[in-house]
This record gives sequence, C-alpha cells and structure tokens, in this order.
Amino acid sequence: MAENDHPSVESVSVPVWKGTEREPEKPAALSPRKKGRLKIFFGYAAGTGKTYSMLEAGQEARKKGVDVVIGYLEPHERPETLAQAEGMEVIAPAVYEAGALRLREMDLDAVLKRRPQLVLADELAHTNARGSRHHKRYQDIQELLYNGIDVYTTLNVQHLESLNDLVASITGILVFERIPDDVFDLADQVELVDIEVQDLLERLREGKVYRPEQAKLASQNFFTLDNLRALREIAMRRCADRVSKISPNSKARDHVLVCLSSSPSNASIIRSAARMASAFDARFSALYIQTPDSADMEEDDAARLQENMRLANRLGASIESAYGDDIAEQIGDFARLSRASKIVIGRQGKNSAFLSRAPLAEKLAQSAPNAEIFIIPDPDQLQKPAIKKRKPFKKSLKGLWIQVLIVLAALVLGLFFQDLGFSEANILAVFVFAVLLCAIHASALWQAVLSALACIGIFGFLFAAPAFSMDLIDKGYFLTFLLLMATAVLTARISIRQKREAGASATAAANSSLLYEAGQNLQEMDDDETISQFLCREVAECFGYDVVFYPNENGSLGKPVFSGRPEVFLNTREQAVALWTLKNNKRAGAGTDTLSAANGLYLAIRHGRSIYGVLGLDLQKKPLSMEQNMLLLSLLGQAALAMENIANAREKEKAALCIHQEKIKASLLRSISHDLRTPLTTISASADLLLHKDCDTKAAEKLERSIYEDSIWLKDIVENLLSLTRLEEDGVKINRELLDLEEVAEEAMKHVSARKSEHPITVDVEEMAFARLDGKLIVQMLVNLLNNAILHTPAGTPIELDIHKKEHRVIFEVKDAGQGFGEKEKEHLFEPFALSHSKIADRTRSMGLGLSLVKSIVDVHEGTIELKEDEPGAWFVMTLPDGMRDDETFDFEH
Amino acid sequence: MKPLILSIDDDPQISALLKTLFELSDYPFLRARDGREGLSLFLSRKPDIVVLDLGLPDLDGMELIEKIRSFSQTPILVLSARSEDTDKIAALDAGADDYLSKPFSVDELLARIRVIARRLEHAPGVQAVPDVFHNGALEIHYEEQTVFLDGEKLHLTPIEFRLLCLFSKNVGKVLTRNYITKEIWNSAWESDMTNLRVYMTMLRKKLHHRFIETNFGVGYKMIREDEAQ
Repeated sequence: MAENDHPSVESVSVPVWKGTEREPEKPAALSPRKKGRLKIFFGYAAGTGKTYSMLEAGQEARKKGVDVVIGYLEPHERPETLAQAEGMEVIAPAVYEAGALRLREMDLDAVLKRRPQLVLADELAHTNARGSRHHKRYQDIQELLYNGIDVYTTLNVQHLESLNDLVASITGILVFERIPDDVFDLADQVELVDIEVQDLLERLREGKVYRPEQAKLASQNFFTLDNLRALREIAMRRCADRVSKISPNSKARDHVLVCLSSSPSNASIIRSAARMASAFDARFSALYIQTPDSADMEEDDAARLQENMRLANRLGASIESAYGDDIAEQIGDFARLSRASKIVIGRQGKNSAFLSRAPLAEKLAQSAPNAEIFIIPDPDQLQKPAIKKRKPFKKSLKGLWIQVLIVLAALVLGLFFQDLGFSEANILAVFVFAVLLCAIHASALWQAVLSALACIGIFGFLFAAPAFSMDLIDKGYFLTFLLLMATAVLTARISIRQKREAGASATAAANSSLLYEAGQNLQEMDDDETISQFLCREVAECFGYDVVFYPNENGSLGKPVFSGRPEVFLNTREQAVALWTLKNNKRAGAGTDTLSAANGLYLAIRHGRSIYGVLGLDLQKKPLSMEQNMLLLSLLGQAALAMENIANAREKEKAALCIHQEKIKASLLRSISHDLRTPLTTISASADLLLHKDCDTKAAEKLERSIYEDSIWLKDIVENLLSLTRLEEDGVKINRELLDLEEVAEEAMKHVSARKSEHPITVDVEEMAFARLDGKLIVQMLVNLLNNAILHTPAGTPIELDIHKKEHRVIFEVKDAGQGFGEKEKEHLFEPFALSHSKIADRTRSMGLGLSLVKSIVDVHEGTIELKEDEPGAWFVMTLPDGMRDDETFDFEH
Repeated sequence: MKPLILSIDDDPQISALLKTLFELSDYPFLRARDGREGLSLFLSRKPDIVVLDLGLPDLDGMELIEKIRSFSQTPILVLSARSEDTDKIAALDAGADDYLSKPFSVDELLARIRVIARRLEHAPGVQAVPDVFHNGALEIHYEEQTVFLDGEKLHLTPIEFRLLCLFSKNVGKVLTRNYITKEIWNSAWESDMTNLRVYMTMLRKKLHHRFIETNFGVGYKMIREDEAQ
C-alpha cells in the first residue's frame, strides 16, 4: 500500500478524469470535485522572464473573461514585471512573525474563500514560513488544484528534486528548496521560458535581475556562462523528457527498483534511481530489507532511514519492505515477483568479515538474473569504510547474570566431582559444557568470550594440576583452550543470530497474524460503525495510542469514535486538521509536512479516490516507528476495503430497491390507468348517448345516474392516489393529531360510497376516547374498508364498524357478513393491485389500491392488521398504538 | 329578493357550470375570470356573496380574501382544488366563511349558499345582538347564561358556554380551531388545541351531536337545525 502522502496518487488519475471513459458515478460525497489545471512557467535561471510570462498569460485569460487573482507575487519584482500585474485582483498575503522578520506568504484560506477560476502564484518551490498550513508552497498549490482552482506558477530547473544533485555538481551550489518531480511531470502544461544565455548575462549586467552588488556576487558564483549553458541544457532536456513521457504509447513499462538503507549516501542513490525511472518512464519502487540486525538500529540511523523513505516517496516510489537475512536473495525475490527490470544499488563497502565474501552485486546477479543492475558510486562509503555499528553497551549487559550463574554452577559441580575423586579430564568436560552453555545463552559476543575465559581461568587455577597455579599453558592444554575459545565464539555468533531472527520472525508472524485476524474480522462486519469501532480498538491496542475516528459524512467530519482519552482530539484545532485530511485525502498533523503543530497524526481511510473517514492518533507521547507505520497503513487499507465493500453492497441494495420500486411504479401506473379507464368509459359513453340520442326520460335518468356514480368513483380513486403519494413522499412522517374517535367514525361515514344506503351499517364507537393518529389517513383507511365491504357484498348485507380502545391501543374493526376471501386471495390481499390477479378484477369495480393503502396506513402508524380467519365474511382488525403520552389525561369536568 | 352572487373562477367549465346552476336556482349571478376583474366587479356591483376559486392566474386567492376583508364583511365561499387542509385553514383564517373542495356536489354548494343567504336575512346590517338565540330546539339566554335544549336546561361549564356562544354568533360559518382557541383562550398553543378537542367532544355530547358539525381536520361549524339535511 502506498503511503498516504504519496503525491502521485491523486495526480496520476487526472487523465482518466479528463478522458471520455469516466469512472462510474460515485456518491457525490465520496467523489472529489473536478480538479484544477496546473501550468508551470519553467526557466533555467532567475531572470529568464518567467514571472513576466505568467502575468502576461494571466492578463490574457482575464481578457477572455476568466476570474483571475494574484495569489502571490514576489514583492521585489522588477518594475516592468509589476506593471504587467496591473488591474488584476491581488489576494493580500498572510504575514507571519518570525523573530524580527515578517514573512509574507500566500494566504491559502483567503484564496480558497475567494474561489477564483485561476490563481497566479510565483515560485512553486518556495518553502513556507513556520506556522503555515503546509511546509511547501507546492502543497498549497496542490490544495488549490484539488479544490478545482486553476493555477499558473513559476519554477527554476534547479528546484527539481531529481536534478538536485546534478545541478549541485555543475554549479557547486546546493539548493534546499526542492519539489518532487511528479508535481512537474503531472502539470497540465509546462511552458519553457527560454532566453539566450548571452542575453541573460546582459540583463544581469544591466541590473534587471538583481541589484548591482548582488549581481556581481551572483555572476561570480552562479551566473557564469558555463553554468548557465549547462542549466539551460538540463532544463530543455527535462522538458523534452516530460513531453515524451506524456505520449500515450507506453508499451510494457519498465520497473526500477531501488534499495533503501539507513546510509547517508542512500539519498543520492534514490535520486539517481528516480531520474532513471523518470527517464525510462518506468514504475518506481523502493525496497527496504529488514535484516535481523535492523532491530538494533540506532536512533539516528532509523531517522535517516525514515528520511530516505520519505524522499523515495516524494520522488514517486512506492515503498515496499521485505524481511530476510540475505539481502541479495530478498532483493532478487522481490525483483522477480514484481518484475523489476532495473535494480539500482550503491557500491557496497560493507562486506562482513568472513561470512559473505561475494559482493552484493554479484549475488544479486545470480538471484535476479533477468534484471539489469546499476551500481551507483558512493563517495561516502569509499571515504570512511563502514563504521562498525555496535550495540550500546548497556543493552548487551542483558542476561549477564545467566553467564555468571552457569560459571558458578560449573565451579560448584567441578569442586563436587573433585571431592568424589573424578579425574581432571572429567572436570574439564564439565567446563567445556559450561562454556557451550554460556555461548548459547550469550546476548553479546563479548559475554561468551568473557565466560569462556572465566571457565578456562577457573579450571586452570583450581583443577588442573598443579592446583592454584596458572602454568597450564605448558601442560598441553593450550590447544584445547584455543579450540574451546573458538567454539564458544562460533556458537555464540550462531545462537545470537538465531535469537534475533526468531525475534524478528516472531514479530513478523505476529504482525501478519494480526493483519490476518483483522482482515477476517473486518470481512464479517457489515456496518461502518462496527468497523470504525473495531479499527479504533485495534489501533489503540496494537500501538498504544489514543485514537479517534471520524467517518466521512458528505465531506465533513461525522460523529467521532474514540478509543482511549478523547480530550486530546476535542478541540477545534485538532478537528480542523482532521477535516483538512478528509477534504484533501492526505495525511496531516504531527510528524508530517502539513499542519505539523497538531498533537495528532491524521490519516485518511480510503480506497481509490473514495475517502471513508479519518483516523487520528495522539502522537504526543512517542512518534510512530517505521514498522508501526507500515502495519498501521496495512490495517487502514484493510478497513478501507471493508468499508468499500459495505458501500458497494449498499449501492447494490439501493439499485435493487430502485428497480423494485420502478416495477411497483410501473404496475401502479398500469393499474391506475385500468382503474381510471373503466369509470371514464362509462362517463364518456353515457354523456355521448345523452348528447346525441333521443332518450326517454327514464333512460336519460339512468345514464345521468351512472355518470354521477362513476365520477364519485373516480374521486375516490384520486383520494387514494393522493394519500398514497403523500405516504411515499413523506415516508414515515405522519401528521399525528389528537382525535376524538367518534369524530373519526362520523367523518368516515360521510365519505363512504353513496351505495351505503343499500347496506345496514352499524357503527359502535367508544365514547370519550382519544388518540393521536393521522386523522386524514385513518379516515381514508376506514372509508376504504367500508367501501370494500359495500362493493364486494350483495346489497342488504350488514356491515359493522367498531372502534374501541384497549390500554394504549386503538382497535378498529370492520366486519361484513359476505362471502369473505378465498385462500388464494388472502395470500395477496395487501399487495398493491392484488385484486387484478383475481376474478373480481374483471368486474369494473376493483379497489386496486384500497387494501394496500390500508396496509400502508397501518404500517406508518406502527400497528398491525389482521384478517380474522374463523368468520365467513371479511373481518379486518387493525390494532394501532394510540400515540398518547403516558401522563396525558383529560379533565372532563371543569 | 335573492342575494347577488359573484363567482371568481378562471376555469371556463366550472364558471359555466356555476352560471347554469345559479340561474336555474334564480340567483342573480356575476362572473369574473381573474382576481382583478373580480375585485373591480366587487367594487362596482357590490355582490352579497362571493364564490372564490383559490387558484387564480393573476392574484393569489388568499390575497384577494385579505383585500376584500380589509373593507368589507361580505361572505366568501371558497372553492379549492387543493385538498390539503392547510390551504382551507389559511383561507378561513384569512376571513373566508366556508369552503368546498373540488370536486363538490351541486346540492352541497346550493345548501351552503342557502345557509349564507339565511344568515344575511337574519342579520341585515348591524343589529343589536338579541338577548335570546334560537336555533330549532336550542335556546341560549345570553344574559342569564343559560341554555335550553328541547325545553330542558343544559348544564354547561363556563368554557362550554363561551364556545356555544361563539358558534351561535357565527352560524353557518366554519370556525377554524386556530380561530376558536384565540377567541376563547387568547392563544393558540398546542395544549389549547388539545383542550379544545376535549371541550368540543364534551359540548357535542351534551348537544346530542346536533347543531355543531365537525369539519374534519379544519374546525367546527354550527348549522341551523331546520336546514340540516
């Protein structure tokens, strides 16, 4: 998994987004906005006219109606250049106090707030003042681009990371302000602002570049004809490289692999490899091999290694690590597996004394026969032949008491055997055994040597005749002791190495089992909250930090999950950093280049371009070690994957639901048109007859009546449709109001079909009973049921409506003495348009929506509906919670 | 003399229907196609009853009610295609007297018009409030604060009495709950609404569910017993 602040991750996919094959639509919150475009005005030295060209281009854009502002301009610009800026809006720079100095920096927040279409910002490679959000200006600019703002900026060739050494070797000046090559290579446009070297020198002399005294100094050091020519060539070549890289016909890509180490010279090796990778347009990996020794790495070495890793990362490498004793073999394995075609190593000075004599390059050639191997000269290694790194003495004292114990035991045993009258040779055997034991248990070589000497001394002095003298050298023991010493040293070496390996592989095994278990657990979780809780707990337990997790809620921080003490994270400053991480998909906070004043380190949990949340660790107590960092990133990667899976599953579910709803809608429309067409046919046909035919009064009356009845019928359908849409629109939100149940029954009876007079309807409602329900819906429910009973039973069939309360529930019962429902009908009774399946559908009057609406109304009131089985007729019982508060009582007698 | 009816409706079909209907029933009738025309006809011809459609092309019906109410108490009957209660309540609170949802039955419309016409007869202009109110078998003696139903004295709580008086002074007019609570309690809190329901239930029970009708989801209306169908 790539490191979080890997700059190429967000830039690489730019062409994809611009191209025609867009990524599948993602939820708006997860997919970033359209990125801004970056244009770099590139020169080979100061004074070539980059800023002037940039402003010119800005003015042109402004004329075309683009909203342009100046984000930052060096204040000491030449007058002609400043004249070019005329008329453009300038965002006032932010001012930072640094001692006596007042540093002016681009005000990033002001620009983001202003949201222009295009920002002009001078000096891409500039290092920001302490206290700014980002360490470097290019990071400011990346944030602007990420927020969809186009940027024009300027850059000199010597500020490119990969060319740094080269430029330094030509000009002798080391430049500290550097930018990753990616930023340059992935810019949307690079314009080389070129000027003849002679002309540049002329301008310099005229004082157009620097003030005279500065110019003199500059021309002696930097602005020499040779230097400038060389720089110009490099700049042009670099531009050409960039163009060839962009050309799309990339066949099988090369893969450059560089080996990371803690050596100070490793940085220049990494740069060479990066240059190579970029020249070949190759994939670039940096491999770190952990060896048994690396556990004992000293602090400054570890820091250097971290620094080198970061450098490789900045140069666009993906960082990998492997564990093993034999470096060459590990590199070879990795190279084979990852199909690395080019391996870059430094010239090795460090050949250990007598175990591996073959140089690394040669062994590598054997273990990775298909790769080209490049050996970079390493001046440091040649000057000072590897300083043997020793473990700090204190650390090697560990376990010394075991040695003392063994020697003492040997002494006691020796005295005991001597008393028993055993021979000298037997006693020697005891000491030989003790020496071996000591060697096996030694935690440092010197311990084994010391114990061996002690044993030899004791044996010589006490046991070897003559006792209490040390003249055993003559007695033929000399060789024995020499061999014994050699055995001790060899045994100790082997045992020490084995112990370290065991330790390291135990850690590796523990890590991988941890990851495996985490993976297993994560796979089983099916909601984001469980995952975030699990992640927090796991990270807190494994690394011992206080942890916070913020889910991504439409681009802002959601409700946090904590593990450990939450106070550290609960202030606006920390949350601002977390929010920044979320918005920009990059790590920030303690130990990074961005907002490093924070207490916490914030990492985005992401997969591809989707961000699922931000994890924060309180790094106040101790910084994160390299292994922890890698393990943490793997954990986060797994969590992100799990969250992605859930998001995908959710999407799928949604899609399925959508399809289902579409189906329902389609069948709804079908059914509605059917339901509407039937009465409409009657109405139009009857009206037609009335208009054109001569009917007798009796026939006319009959036609008029049918028109009237069917129009009422239409009205009912429309009422049902309105209620149904209301339920769909508002979801479960219903308009509960206090209802007098008697009023409800009364209202329902008013709206029941005109044919109610054909049926004796008994209404029995509990008096003085109240409930909080949605009045309109409840009335609709009763009307539907009553109409249903009226329509589907022969005239004269009695119908009963009964409403009463039981504790906190309201029970509505609608009962008729008709034929009831058949078994098959019962199954689909409450499905929309169930009746369209059955025979009744053929009759003109079906209540396609009626019963399903009743069911929906009961559902939104969280009640139940039941069709009583043991009765011949239809008997519906609806039980709804009354929605009253417990303390709600009414004082009826005032 | 039958009252002059002004219909303000932009739908030609409904407008034609209303014309036929009122002419058949011998009501003098005027019609306007939009709010402006309606307002100018109202000013020039001084109709006795306005039948107003809420959805007009130029003016919002609610606005028109407020305009008319700013200088005249002429009864307004609202016709509305909007079935949402909130619209009806807003129209009634703005000063409309009664409402009908489209589609409406012709009989219903004529009945409402009759109720309004009767009210106009009962109260021609400003008249001193009579001491005794009669509505069929219901008798209210305002001074003595006593109520008789079918000759028997009703036992009412003070609030029930005030409610009944309020209705008796607005016969045929729909009173929204909002309006009633403001009249009785000078406020319209949710708790007042709840109380109103309970008092109305009590009052209606004591009146044997006669005289006062519920307009579900909107409010209540007193009807003349001799007019109740």
